Amino acid sequence: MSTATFDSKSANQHATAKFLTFVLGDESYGIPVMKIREIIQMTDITAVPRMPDYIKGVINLRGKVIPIVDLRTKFGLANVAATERTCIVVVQVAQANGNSPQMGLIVDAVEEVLNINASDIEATPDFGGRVDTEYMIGMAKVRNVVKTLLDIDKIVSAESLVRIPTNA
Amino acid sequence: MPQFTTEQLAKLTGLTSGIGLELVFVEPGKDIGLLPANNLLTQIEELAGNSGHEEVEHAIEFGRSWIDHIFNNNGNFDVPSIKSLNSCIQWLQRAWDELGRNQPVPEPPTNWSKPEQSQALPEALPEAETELVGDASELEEPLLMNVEADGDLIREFTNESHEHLQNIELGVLILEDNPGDMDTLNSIFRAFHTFKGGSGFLNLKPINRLAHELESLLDLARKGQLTISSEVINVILSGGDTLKQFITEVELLLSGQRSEATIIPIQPLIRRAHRAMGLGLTLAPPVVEGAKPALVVATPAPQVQAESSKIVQLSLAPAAGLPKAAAKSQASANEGQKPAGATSIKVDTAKLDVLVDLVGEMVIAQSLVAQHPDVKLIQNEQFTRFLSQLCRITNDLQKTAMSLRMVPVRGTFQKMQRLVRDVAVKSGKQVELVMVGEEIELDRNITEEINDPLVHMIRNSVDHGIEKPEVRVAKGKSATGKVTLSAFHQGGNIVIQIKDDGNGLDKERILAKAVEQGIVDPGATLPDRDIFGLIFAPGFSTAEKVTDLSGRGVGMDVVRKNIEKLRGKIEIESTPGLGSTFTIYLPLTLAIIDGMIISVGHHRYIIPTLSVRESFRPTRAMLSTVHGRGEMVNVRGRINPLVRLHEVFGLSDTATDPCEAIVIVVESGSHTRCLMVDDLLGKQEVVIKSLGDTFKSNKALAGAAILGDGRVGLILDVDALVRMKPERLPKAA
Repeated sequence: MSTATFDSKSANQHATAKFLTFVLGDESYGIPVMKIREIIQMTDITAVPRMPDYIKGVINLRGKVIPIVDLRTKFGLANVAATERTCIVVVQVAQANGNSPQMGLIVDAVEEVLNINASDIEATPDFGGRVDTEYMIGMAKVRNVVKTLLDIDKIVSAESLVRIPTNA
Repeated sequence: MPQFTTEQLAKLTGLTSGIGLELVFVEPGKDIGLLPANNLLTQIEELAGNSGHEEVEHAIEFGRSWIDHIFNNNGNFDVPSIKSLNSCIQWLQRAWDELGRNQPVPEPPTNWSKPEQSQALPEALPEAETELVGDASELEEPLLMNVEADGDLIREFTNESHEHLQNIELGVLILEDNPGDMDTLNSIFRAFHTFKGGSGFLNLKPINRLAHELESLLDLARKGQLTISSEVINVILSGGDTLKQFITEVELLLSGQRSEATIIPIQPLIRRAHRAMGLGLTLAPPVVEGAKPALVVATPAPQVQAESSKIVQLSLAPAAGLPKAAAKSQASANEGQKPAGATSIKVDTAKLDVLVDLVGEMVIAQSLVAQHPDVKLIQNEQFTRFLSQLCRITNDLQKTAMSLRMVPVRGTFQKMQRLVRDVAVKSGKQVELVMVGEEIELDRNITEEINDPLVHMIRNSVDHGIEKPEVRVAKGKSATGKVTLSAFHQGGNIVIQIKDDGNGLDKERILAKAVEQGIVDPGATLPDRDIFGLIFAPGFSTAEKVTDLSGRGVGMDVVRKNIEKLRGKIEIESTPGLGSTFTIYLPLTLAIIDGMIISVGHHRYIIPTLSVRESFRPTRAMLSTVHGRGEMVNVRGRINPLVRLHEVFGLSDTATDPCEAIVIVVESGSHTRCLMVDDLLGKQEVVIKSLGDTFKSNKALAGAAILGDGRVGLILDVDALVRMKPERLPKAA
């Protein structure tokens, strides 16, 4: 994943872009705000059987049924009980097949919206295969805190979700 | 003297000034304004063209002749046409005024002269005619269009075209029964006319040319100079089909699915049209006769004509004897369509879906409010009244929102008329199609999806069910076979029934075939229902000689699959020698199902009630196992494999002993399974939502629904559950 894509996308916006940052445990992450539709409180999730564990299930978002992805589970972090700061970030995902469904991401807490300069973004370092860097735009250092910027389309792309044991 | 109502006059005045307005902006050598003017004039024709008011009719005809003249002249206005049209409009305006005051209409100007060529129709168009005849040997013209510039216009044109084509086809079938029906003839004429206008404007040359020829043909018939013979009917039908091909072609080009138009030949059809015009002329007035080039008549057609008329007499015989009911229902359908067209608008279905979603949410939100403990404590009478008022309104609103998607099955049924005619002619049979309940409404998506299965079954009924006339007579039946296509409500379902009075299904042969193919064990005795069900078995149809099997095998598995996809089911009844009845049960709408809510552990799921046969708590004696793991439930002598839902879904905290749980017998096609669940929670109508791509690999789920408490419930895909792990389950009886 390269900063180049990011650069080219935001070149006409004075090379800065807005990111919503949120936390999972003590790690901080960012998602381009353009992808975000809304942020809602944690709500009852209907579990869907026979799905990977990070797909928590589905919720009713004003009449629409949308899938919920637990980012903690997805990134291999320990599970914690939901607090009142836990919330669901609803994002609109662009899929390879041209669909753009909405999905919810469970995060521990949302922080703020940041303007990040393209020049402040560094390419994701190679963690030597211990970390899947495929869905990262890069790393940004803001006020001495490193934020991992996520390419949301890649995280929840249909291909990465379909690793389901089907014995049907 | 015929009178117009005030209302009509107001409308006519409006239309006329509309044309006047268009004329203000027209310029010689340009076509701007021609189409609107043509449309307006057509509407005037409909209102006043047959009013019996001689001067008015004359004036309208005069206007029409000039508009036609422009269409025939590259579609561009010229000075004389503008002058004449202006004069015509001015006179009409004055005429409406005078009629409004109950005064006689003013004298029409004496200098009105129709354009030269328009004196009489195609034959009298010397240049056009020679050009066309000459063209016949030339290559077909390709379909050229300017997608970038005219994209939207063309799209509009194709959208409208579908309606016109449908009208043409319906009209022709009515004409076949009743060649003297002037209203129908006029409406077909107008449809072709609009085609010609639109295609000329958009410069879709082959379409324009074909429409022009067909229009000329109809015009002759309209003027009584041509008898509607079978050949004429066939030419018009093939013309309609060819235009349909063109429209499909245009749509493909528009959507970019095809980059270059394939050439659809129209010359043979045009030649046929010419021949029909040449042959069918009934003692035409000498003018036309004289003007007609000899070339056209000289084509060696009489023999063809004679032959085809023989065939059609065969097919016409039953048609003529068509019971009043059918003919009447057609007529009423046509009447019904006109006002419907005038007062309806086209809405994007995506918008409808959003509306239905939101209304569903509103109902839930309202019940959440009403059920809230604090609200329930309120003892105020007025408040209770307001709340129940709100409740009524939301319910009405929900019903209305749901009904927006519903359309009558009429359109789908009427398409079958043509099919029956074609198949009957081809197989040399006499068949009448009787339609009942065309006004029954179904979800639009269902009417589209049900089309193919219906075509299939009706074709089978005519082709294989109905016997040849001589066979029927020998059996003491009337020579004309009858296929009844009916729709009605039953329970919460729509039922579509196809009934024929043919030979019925041959049980022995079906059974023999099934044994031969290893679907059934030799010597097995099956109830009738199961034997008939065999024709739905996949692969059953591909057997050789299956058409001998009084048919019904061909692709019936596909029919059933399609119907099940719509969450419907199909049943067969048949009496040897007396005919068969195919009954299709369909849900009212695809958006809602009647669901049974069940629980497994602390999870809730929805099972479509249509697939539930029964549910009970089994006793120990009903259970047995095969090889220690294949569990079976004996339901009144029928052995059904047990499917533990908690195992399938990998859930914990559930009942594990079937005798403490509930077993639901579900069926899909001819297979049944017993689903083991913890409890039945109730029955509810739920709005189905798609789960989206994320869960499409999850075969056990058909979708989701929002339950009464606002949470999501998952709808089980019974078909998938029934088919799941077949290797572990013994073959179902």
